[in-house]
Amino acid sequence: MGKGKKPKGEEEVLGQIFDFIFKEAKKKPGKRKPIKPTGISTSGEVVDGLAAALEQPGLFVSDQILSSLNDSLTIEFGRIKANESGSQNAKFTTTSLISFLSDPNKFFDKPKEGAKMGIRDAMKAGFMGRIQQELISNAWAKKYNLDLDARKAIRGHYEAEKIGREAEAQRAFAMSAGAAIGGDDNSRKNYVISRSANLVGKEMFGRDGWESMSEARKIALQQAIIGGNIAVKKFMTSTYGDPSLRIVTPSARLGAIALSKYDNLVARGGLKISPTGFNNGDKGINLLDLNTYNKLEIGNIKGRIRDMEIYIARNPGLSINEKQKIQMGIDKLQQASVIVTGNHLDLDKVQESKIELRRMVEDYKSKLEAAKRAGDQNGVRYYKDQIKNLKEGDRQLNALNFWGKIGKREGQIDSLKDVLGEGLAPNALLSVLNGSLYDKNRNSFYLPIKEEEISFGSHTWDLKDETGTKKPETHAEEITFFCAADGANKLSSAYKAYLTNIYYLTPRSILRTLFVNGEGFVYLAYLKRQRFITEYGVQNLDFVKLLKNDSTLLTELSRKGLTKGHIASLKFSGRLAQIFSFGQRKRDMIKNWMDDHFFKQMRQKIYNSLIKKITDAEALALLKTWLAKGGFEIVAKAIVIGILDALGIAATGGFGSFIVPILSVIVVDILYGLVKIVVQVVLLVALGMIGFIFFVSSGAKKDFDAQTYAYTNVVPGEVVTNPNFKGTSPIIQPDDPSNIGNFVGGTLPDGEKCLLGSGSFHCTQGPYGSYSHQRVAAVDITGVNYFYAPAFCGNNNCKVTYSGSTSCTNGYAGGMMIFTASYGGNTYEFKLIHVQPGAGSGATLSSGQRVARVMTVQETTNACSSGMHLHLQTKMNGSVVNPRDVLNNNTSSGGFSCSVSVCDP
Amino acid sequence: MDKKKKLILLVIIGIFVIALIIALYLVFKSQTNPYPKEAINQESLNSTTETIALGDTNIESSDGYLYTVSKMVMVEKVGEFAYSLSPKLIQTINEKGSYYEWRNGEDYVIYELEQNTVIFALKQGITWNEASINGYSFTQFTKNYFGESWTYSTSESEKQPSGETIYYAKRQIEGMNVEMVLNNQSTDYLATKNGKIVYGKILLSDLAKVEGKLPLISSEDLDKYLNLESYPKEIYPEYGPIQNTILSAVDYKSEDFDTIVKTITNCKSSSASIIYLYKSLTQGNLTPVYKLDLQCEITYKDTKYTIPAIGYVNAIDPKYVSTAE
Repeated sequence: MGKGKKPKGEEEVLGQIFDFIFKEAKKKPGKRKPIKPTGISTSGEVVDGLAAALEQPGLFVSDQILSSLNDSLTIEFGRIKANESGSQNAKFTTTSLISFLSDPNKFFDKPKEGAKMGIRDAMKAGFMGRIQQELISNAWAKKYNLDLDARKAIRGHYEAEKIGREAEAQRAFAMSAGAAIGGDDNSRKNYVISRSANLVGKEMFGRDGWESMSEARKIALQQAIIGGNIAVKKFMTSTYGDPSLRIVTPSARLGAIALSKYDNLVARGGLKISPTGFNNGDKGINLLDLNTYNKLEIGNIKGRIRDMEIYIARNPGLSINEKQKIQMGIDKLQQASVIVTGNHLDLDKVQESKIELRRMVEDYKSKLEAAKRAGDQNGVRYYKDQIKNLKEGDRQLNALNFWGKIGKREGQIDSLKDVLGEGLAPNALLSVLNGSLYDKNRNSFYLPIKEEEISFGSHTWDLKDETGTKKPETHAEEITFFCAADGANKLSSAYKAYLTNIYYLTPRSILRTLFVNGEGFVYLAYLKRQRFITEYGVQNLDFVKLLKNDSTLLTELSRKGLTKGHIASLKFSGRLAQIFSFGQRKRDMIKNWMDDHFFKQMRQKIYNSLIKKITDAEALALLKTWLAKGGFEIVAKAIVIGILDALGIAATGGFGSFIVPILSVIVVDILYGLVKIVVQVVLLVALGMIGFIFFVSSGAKKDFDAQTYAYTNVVPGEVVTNPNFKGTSPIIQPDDPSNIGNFVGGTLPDGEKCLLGSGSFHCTQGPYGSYSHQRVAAVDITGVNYFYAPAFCGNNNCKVTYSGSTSCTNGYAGGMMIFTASYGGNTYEFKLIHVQPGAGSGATLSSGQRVARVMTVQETTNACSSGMHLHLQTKMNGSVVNPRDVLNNNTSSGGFSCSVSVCDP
Repeated sequence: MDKKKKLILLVIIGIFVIALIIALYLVFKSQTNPYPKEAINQESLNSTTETIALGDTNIESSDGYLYTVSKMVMVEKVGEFAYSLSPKLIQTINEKGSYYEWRNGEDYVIYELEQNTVIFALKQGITWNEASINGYSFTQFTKNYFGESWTYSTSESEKQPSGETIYYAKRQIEGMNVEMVLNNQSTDYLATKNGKIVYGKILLSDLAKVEGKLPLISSEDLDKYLNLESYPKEIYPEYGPIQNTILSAVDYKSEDFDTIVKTITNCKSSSASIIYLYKSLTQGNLTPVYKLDLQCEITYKDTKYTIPAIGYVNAIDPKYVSTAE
C-alpha cells in the first residue's frame, strides 16, 4: 500500500487488508505492524476511521461486538417470535437457559416491550386508516345504492376484519382460559360465520337453488358447514339421499353435485382449511378467516355479474332500457368488488383501486360522449353523476394514501433514528463501526445488505423415525454472510456495494471473520465466485464439490474457460472461508445434533402436554397471534413446566411432593402474569375502541358525510340529493402559506418598546416552516424571558382572552395565553405558548405589564419542544400576520422595534 | 336650688351618663369586631362572563384569614444557592428587578421576580438522602438552601418518560394550601432521578398573616353573587384528556383550538375547598379563595363535550372586598 501508486479498488484493498491481517496474526503481538490506510480511491474519511478502529480495536468495543463474541460461545436451541415479522424474538440459548428457567417473566420482558412498541406504532396509522376505510366504504355503498347483498358483503368484510384485528387477543386468551366470550364480539363473529356459510351454500347450490331453498334447510346446511367436512357430508346424505346407492334419485343427484362443488371449494378454492373442533379430527372451511371470507364474497359477486352478462347474451330481444338497467346492476356489483378487494390499509391495493377507478371514469366518459351524441339526456345525467362520484371516491382513496404514508414515513424515520441516533449525521460513522447500520432489526429504512448463505460441508447421522427405523439425517454446514442488496438503480446499487465492503472492514466483522464464522473470507469467496459466474457463465458453482475436487465440476469449469490459476484462486478463497468458518460450522453441528436427539422430542412433549390440549382450532390460531403480540408469560411458564415434565421431574410422590409446592408458586405467578398481560391487551384494545366511539359519536362522522356525499340513501332503491352537502374536499390540506396576510399597522405612540424586553433574539422556526409549524404562521424565539404588554395598554384596551395550560400529543406543553391589544382602530392578538401566564382569563392588562414568563424545558416536561423558547402567533384585526413582522417593524408602521433574527430554515 | 332646677340638673346628668354609656359601648364594640373596617383589595382574581352553577355544592359560612405577599426578594440567597449547586454556574443574565440567571451548559438556576420563584436544573443532581420526596423534604430543602421554615403538602407525583419523577407540593399556611394555576396547581416541585434531585421550582415569597378575621361567604349567598359579571372568578379548563382523544386532530397551535376554547359554557360545580391563590410577587393580599371542581361544556363541530375544569372564586363576603376596577 505504498505511496505514489495508482489508487486501488475497494475489493483489492479489502483483500489486501485481510491478507495483511492473516499474515500479521501469525506473528507475536509485539512484532505486528500497525495498519496504514492508503490507496483507496473512495471515501478516505470512512476508511481512515475504520483503520483507526483496527489499530486500536479496544476503543471501539461495542454492544454489537460483545454480542458477536457472545454468539461465538453460545448455542441456540430455539426462539419464540415476539411479533409477526420476527424482528423481535426471545432466544433460548445455552447461556440464557438458566435465566429463562429461573425467571421466565424477566426473560421475555425485552422482546415483549419491543413488540408492544411495534403494536403502538402500527395502531397510530392503522386506527385512522380503518376508520377512513369503514366510512368510505359504507357511505360509498349508500351512494351507489348498492343492493342488499353487496352491502352485506361490505359489512361482513368489516366485521371479519374487526374480529381479525381488534378482538383476537382478548378472544384468544378467553378461549385458552376457558372463559366466556363477550356478547358483542359473539354477535360479530356469528354474523361473519353465517354470512360465510351462506356464501358456501350459494356456491354449492347456485344462487337460484340457494334462494329457493327453505330457511330451515339453509340454517341446517350452514350449521353443517360450520361443523366441517364430515358434518356437510352427513347432512347432504341424510337430506338428499345417498348417491352411492344403486337407484339414484334426482334429489340424491342434486345433493351429489352440490357436495362435489363443496369438495372442489375445499380442495381448490384457495380457502383456509382448519380443524373445526366439532368432530374429532374433522376439518372444514375456516369461516372466520378474513382472506377466506373475501374470496367467498368476491366469488359471489363475480358469479352474479356473470349471471347478468349471460342473461343479456341469451336475451337479444331485451329493450335498451332493460339492458341499461342490467348494465347498471353489473356496474354496481363491480364497484362493490373494488370495495371488498381494495380497502385494506395496503398502499399497493389502494393504488390498484385508484387505477380501477380511473379506468371506470374513462369508461364512463366515453359512454357520456356516446349519450351526448345520441341526445340521451337521462344517460348524460346518469354518466355525469357517476363520473362525479367516482372522482369523489378517488379523493377518499387519497385520504387512505395520506394516512398510510404517514405511518410508513414515521416507521422509516424511527428506524433511521434508531440506527443513527438523534444526531443522525455525526453518528453515521459510529453506526457503521458498531454495526447498527447493517442490523435489519434496527435499520428498516435503508439497509445496504442482504443475507446470503454458502455451504462449506455437511454432517449426517442416523435418526429413528416414528416406526423405529433408522434413517440418515443430513444438515448442510451453511455460513450466512452479508452481500450487497439490490439497489433501485445503478447508483444505489453501487452505493450499497460500497457500504457492504465497508462492513467487512469494521471491528465487528474482523472479529467475526477471525473468531466466529469467517464471514470476511466467505464474502471474498462469494465475490470471486460471482465474478466467474458473470464473466464465464459458470452455473452451480458449489464450494463443497470444488474443495473435494469434484471431477465433473472441474471439467465443467475448464470447459467454460477458467484457467488452472482461476480455479486455484477460487479454491484458495473457499479453503480460507472453510477454515475460518470451522467454529460456526461445528457449533451448528452440535446444535443440530442436540436438536435432533433431544430438543425436538422435548418440544414435542411440551407441545403435547400443553398446546395440544387446546383443541379448538380457532382458539389455537388466535392464541398464536396473541402470543406474537406479547402474551409470553403463559407460554414461558408452560415451557418451564413442560421442561420439568419432559425431564420427568413433575411426578407425584417422593421428588414430586417436593416439586408440587414449587409448581403451586409458579401457577400463582402464572395467574398474576396473565392478569398483567390481559390488562395491557384489554387496555390497548379499549383505548382504540373508545377512540373509535368518540370519533363516531362526536359528530365527526356526520360532518364527514356532510362534507363528502352529495347523495344519501333514504329508502332502499331511492337516491336523493343530500341537503347537507357542502362540496368541500374532506382531505386535510396543509394551510396555504399564501394565506398569511401582510402586516400593515398604524403608527404607535412614543414610548412603545419591544414586547420581548431588551436585547436581540433568535428565531429558530418560522411560519409554515418545518414540521411543527407546517400549518401555523408561528415563530419560535429563543433568548426571551418575559413577554410584555404594549405600552399603549392601560385603558381597558388590552384583555386576556385565554389563560391556562395546554397539551400536545406527547403530553404537557406548559401554559398558553392569548390576549388582545387595541390601539388606533387596530386590534392585535398575541398567542403565547410554553409560558407561565401572569394574568388569568378576563384580566385587563396595564401598560408594559409582564404578561407571561417563558417556561424552561423542564417546566414543560420536555414533551412538546426540544428547548426553552417562546412560541408566538399573531393576528391583526382577525387576520393571521407574521409575528416577526409585528415584532420587528418600526413603531411608525405598527411594530414594536424588536431585533429578531431571520428564522432558521 | 329650687326643685325645678334640681330636676333639670338630674335630667342633664342622666342624659350625659346615658350618652357616656352609649359612647363607651360603641367604642368597646368597635374594638371587638374582628372583621376589617375597610374593604380589602382583591387583585389576584379577575372576572369572567362565564357562569358557574353551584348545584349541590354546599359551603357553610365561616371565618378566614388574610395574608399578604411580602415583597422581600432573595437575590443573594439564590446566588448562594446557585454556587452551592455548582461553582461552575456563572451569572449570565441580570435583568435587574425581574430576571436573574446562572448557567453552565444545560445546568441553570433562574430567579424570576414576576412570581418570585427559583427554577433550577442540574444534570448531575443534588444528592438527597431520602427514599422518596414528601412535604417534609420540601421543608428541609428550603431550610437548607434558603433558611426558611415553610411547610408543604404533597399529593401528586408524575413519572416522566425520560426517567424523572416529579413531586408536586403546595405551600401550607396554617394547614391551608396555597396554589398556583399551572403544574398541577402546585407552588413548588422537585424532580428526582436515580435518587438525586435533578430539577425543580421553589416559590420564595414569604406570606405573612394579617391580624383579624375575614367573613367567608356561604354557598347560599355565593349563589346570589357568583354569576355577576364583576364577581372575582376565574375558570381553568383541562383540555389535556380530550386533546389526546376527541381533539387529537386539533393542533393546540391551530385556530380551531382557539375557537374551541372560546365555546366553554355551562360549568357545574361538584365540590369546593378553601385555598389561597398565589399569582405574583406584586399581588399584595393573599385572600381565601374557593376552589371549585367543575365540569364544563365545550363545543366541537356542533357536538358538546364535557371537560373537567377548576374554578377559583372569591370566598370573602363581597361587602369586605374591593376589586381593582
